[in-house]
This record gives sequence, structure tokens and C-alpha cells, in this order.
Amino acid sequence: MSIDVKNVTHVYMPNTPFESIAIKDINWTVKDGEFWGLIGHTGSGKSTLIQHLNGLLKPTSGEILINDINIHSKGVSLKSIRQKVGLVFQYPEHQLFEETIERDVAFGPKNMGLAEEEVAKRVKEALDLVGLSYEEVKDKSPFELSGGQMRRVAIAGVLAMKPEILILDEPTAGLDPRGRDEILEEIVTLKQKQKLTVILVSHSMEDVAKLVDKLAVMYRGQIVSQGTPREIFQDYEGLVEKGLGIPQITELMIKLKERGKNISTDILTVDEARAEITKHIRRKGLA
Amino acid sequence: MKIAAEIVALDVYYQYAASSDLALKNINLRIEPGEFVAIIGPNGSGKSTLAKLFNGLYTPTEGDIFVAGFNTKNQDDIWKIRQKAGMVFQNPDNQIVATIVEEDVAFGPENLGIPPEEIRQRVKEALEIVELTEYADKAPHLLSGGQKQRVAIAGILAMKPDCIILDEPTAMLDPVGRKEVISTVKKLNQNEGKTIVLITHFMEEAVQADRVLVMEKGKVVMEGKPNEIFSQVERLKKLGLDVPQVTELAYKLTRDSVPVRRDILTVEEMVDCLCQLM
Ligand SMILES: Nc1ncnc2c1ncn2[C@@H]1O[C@H](COP(=O)(O)OP(=O)(O)OP(=O)(O)O)[C@@H](O)[C@H]1O
Ligand SMILES: Nc1ncnc2c1ncn2[C@@H]1O[C@H](COP(=O)(O)OP(=O)(O)O)[C@@H](O)[C@H]1O
Ligand SMILES: [Mg+2]
Ligand SMILES: [Mg+2]
Repeated sequence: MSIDVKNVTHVYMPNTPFESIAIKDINWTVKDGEFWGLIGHTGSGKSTLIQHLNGLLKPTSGEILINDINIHSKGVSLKSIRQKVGLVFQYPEHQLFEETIERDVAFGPKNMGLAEEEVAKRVKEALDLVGLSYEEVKDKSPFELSGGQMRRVAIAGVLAMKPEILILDEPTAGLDPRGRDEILEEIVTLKQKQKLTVILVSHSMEDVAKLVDKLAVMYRGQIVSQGTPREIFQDYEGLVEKGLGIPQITELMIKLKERGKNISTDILTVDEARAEITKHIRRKGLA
Repeated sequence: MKIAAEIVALDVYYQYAASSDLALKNINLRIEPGEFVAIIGPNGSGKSTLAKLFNGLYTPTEGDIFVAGFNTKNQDDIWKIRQKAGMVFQNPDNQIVATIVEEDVAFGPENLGIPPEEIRQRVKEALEIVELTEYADKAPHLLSGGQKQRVAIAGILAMKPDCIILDEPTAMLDPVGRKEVISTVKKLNQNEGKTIVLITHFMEEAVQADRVLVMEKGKVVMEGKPNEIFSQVERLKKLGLDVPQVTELAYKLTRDSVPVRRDILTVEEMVDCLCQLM
């Protein structure tokens, strides 16, 4: 599935003293099967933008096309859009409301009218995918969980609907490092297996550097640049000015270069840095 | 029994009413005045529960917690304890109560019944420390996430606590906001002498502390200086934790027989170390 955002502007509380323009004239194309990262300072409009992609928010002006169809045109069912475009909210507690975790994860698939056995199967699979044990947690209340556990349940609820486009709004905030890596790896696997289109909103430069094919950078309500992580992370100072940064490992390479070392700064992961540094040192015959 | 330290936990167990498991098991620890302690651990390991015991929001099922010598079980002292050990939480939007920054900062001391003149002075000082003086009369919703968290910190500072407990204060922030909050925390520790307890999933933040506590399944399982803890890369990974990227690089380079130190924690240390080799 593809998404086209065309000249989209969103104004919160229009025609009141609290009126504010959250996003402004956004143009963005996400093609079928792509993996996008969306980065930007807090308040830059990331959550506002992605809530348009499943029809949760309606543009004040402009259009959202999914597979070339305007989702707000007559005859388009927003309910079916929301099943195809799964959105994991930034604050998991906004997504959880049932009395037990089992019922919470089952809510989406049940609403799709799936048979009971299919719902049960999906609930187990989804909890397994996010690293929670079905037997251990099924009868617990989502509100008796730690912050990170709650987030896992919220992600499971969306995965259980098997969406074709998966949008995750800072899904790893509050997760421990293993949980973060496992969920991100799972998303990569799901993407490959089910040919998902994925949009990941993240404040972790390390994670987006490792994972996504393309990055869009938001600043004060606009998308100010788009490109591959390699292209985007070349502009260290520009990113810092926009509230962002670069992966720690890329920063290391830039600082080595600044100290006069003839070394590549086009490095996004620890393993790339390891290879580059050992190559350099071997050349000098030290190791 | 010495209870002169800032926070002491003695044989502490905690069980939530709704649960059959123990959230905390046999916790014994001391946090000294002026110390900066980071707590790391997997989701559900008990970090937030411990933090809430530290400021008297919960009391131990068994055992005792002393804050500045006061037992948190003693209900009469509970306001003194909350004032001595202030808490900052994860979500910047849930902690702001007023529509103007300085009113938000004044909220805590107002509740303590401090006279208005003194409150004004405290609010001014607190905003200076977090470097938000120029935002005093602005609406909090116009601020960035990092600024909002600094407003929350100023609100705690205005109550003049000895100790500040921060539970994942940077989890929702962009990279620059995260740096602002951590440098504010370090400043509070170094210049204002505040005792700091920082709970975080960011290893680059934990390395800045004087001491790191690692929790797993309700227990403290490792404890030591950051370089002692983070040089144990395999053990931390087994616990579901991580190390900063430069520490991981150091670990991998030693496997390639590149002679770097194993306990490198920051970009600067790694740059210095590699510059001697390259
Ligand atoms: N209100 C509650 N009722 C019952 N059990 C709870 C409650 N809050 C937490 N727990 C349980 O207590 C244990 C410790 O939770 P705690 O919130 O202290 O973990 P944490 O280390 O802060 O985790 P995280 O990194 O996810 O924030 C977990 O098993 C959790 O499920
Ligand atoms: N429900 C809302 N009502 C009014 N203003 C909002 C609402 N949600 C967000 N905003 C404002 O819109 C802007 C963009 O916010 P948001 O989309 O949440 O950014 P991000 O997700 O990048 O942090 C901010 O100025 C924010 O204060
Ligand atoms: Mg957001
Ligand atoms: Mg917690």
C-alpha cells in the first residue's frame, strides 16, 4: 500500500484564541513496501502528521491518498482504513482500556469481525511477538503493568490486526534495551514476511540509522529534508540546530576526523566503525 | 543502625495488593548525601516501585526506608519526606499544572504554605538554575519537551529538596532535550549539592553517575562505578541491558587485538584513546 500526503495543513482549535498550526503544507510520498523513519524535535508535528494517515485527524486543507484514493472522499470507510493502517500511539495508556490484557489485544481483531478461534490465535501470536507470555499476562489488568510492559501490550493490540501499513509513534520509548531491539527486529521480520509498509517515529538516531531505508526530518510543522540515513546524518550541525543529533558512533568518527585522522565518517553502526578503525590501524601495523 | 545517609533501605520487600509476586525482594542500600546514583534494569524489574518507596508514595510491605533519617512508614513525617525527596516523571505533559511557567513552579511551595514573598524568591532562583528565566511568563505548552521537563525540575527545586528522584525523565524527549535535562541534572548535583537518583534506559546517561545500581526481578544484582559496571558487556547483555555504542566498540576492538581500554564510556575517552594508536 502507498501513501500520498498532498499539501496537508492541520490547525488545532481553529477560530479560537488557542488556534495553532501544527503542520503546514506537508508533501510526502511513502511507496508500497518502504521503511521510513520520521524524526523531529518534540512538538515538530510528527504525531499530528501520522494521525492523518489513518484518518484519525482530518486535514484542515490538503489530501491524504492511500493507494491513490482520498480517504475522506465519499464512500470510503474509515473503519476499513484503520484496519489496514495500524497505528501504535505514542502514549500506550491512551490505547489500553479493557479490563484484561487478553481482551485488550483481542479488541481490534474482534472488531474486524474475525471468528473467535482466529482472534484467540492472533492474540497469542501478537503477545509472543512483543515478548510477553500469554499464560502469564492474559488475565492481568493492563494498568498493573510497568511502563515498558504496557507499551508492549499496546503494540500487540495493533499487530493482532495484521495491518498492511504499520505506523509506530515512538514505540521504544520506555523499553529496556533488549525489548527495544527485539521489537524492532520483529518489525523488520514482519515487514519482510508480510511485505508491510512501515513508518517509525523515533527519537533514537541509533535505531533509525540501523533500520530504515529513508528518513524524513520535521522541523516546526514542516518536512525540511528527506533522504537515506547516510545522507541525512552527514549534516551533524544542522540536525543539532533542529533539536536532533546523530548516532554516537557517527559522532565518534566525525571527532576522529576533526583530530586529523584520515578516516571515513560515513558510518552508521558499531560494526561499520569497527571495520573502518581496524583497517586504519592494521595499515599502521599496530594490531 | 546508621540512618545518617540520604536514603537507606533495610531488608525491603514490596508486594502490590493486586499481585501474587513480590515487586521488590530484600533490598538493602544506602544513598549518601550529594551522591549521583543511576538505576538501570529491564522493564518490570522494580525501578519505579523503588522510586515510589523512596519518596513515601508507597511504604514497604516488609522492612524500612529512611529518607534523611525519617522512616517513610511514619505518616506524620510524610510531607517532610515528599519535600526532601522530590520526584520527576517521564511524561512532560502530565506534570504541568498551571498555564504560566512561573505559576507552575510556584505550585509546590504554595502547597507547603510558604509566604508569597519567599515563594517569589524561590521561583526566581529555581528558574535561574534550570536556565528558563526568560520563559517565566510564557505558557508551558509553547515550550519544547526538554524545556517542559526543566520546568518540572524547577517546580521540585522550589520545594528545596535535598534529593531529586527522576524516573525516566528523558524517555519522551528529542536528542537535544535529553542532553539539556541531563546537563541540568549534573549541574544540580555538582553546583547545588543535590542528591540525585536517576532511573533510565539510556546507558549514555547512566555512565554519567557516580554509582550505578542494576536491578533484575525485584533485586539489586550489580552495583559499582560506571566503568566497573559497563565494562561487563556480556553480563549486561544477558540481563537485557546494553552499553553505550563507544563501549561496545571498545569491547569489539579488543577482540580484534586493538589495544584499547575496555572501560571506555564516552566519545571523548574513545577519541583520546584511538588518537594514541592511529
Ligand atoms: N499498580 C500495580 N499493581 C500491580 N502490579 C504492579 C503495579 N505496578 C507495577 N507492578 C508490577 O511490579 C513489578 C515492578 O514494576 P515497576 O513499575 O517497578 O518496574 P520498572 O522497573 O519501573 O519497569 P519499567 O522499566 O518498565 O518502567 C512489575 O512486575 C509490574 O508488573
Ligand atoms: N490535541 C491537540 N490540541 C492542540 N494542540 C495540539 C494537540 N496535539 C498537538 N498539538 C500541538 O501541535 C504541535 C505539534 O505537536 P505533535 O504533533 O504532538 O508533535 P510531535 O509528535 O512531533 O512531538 C505542538 O505545538 C503541539 O503543542
Ligand atoms: Mg509525538
Ligand atoms: Mg518504571
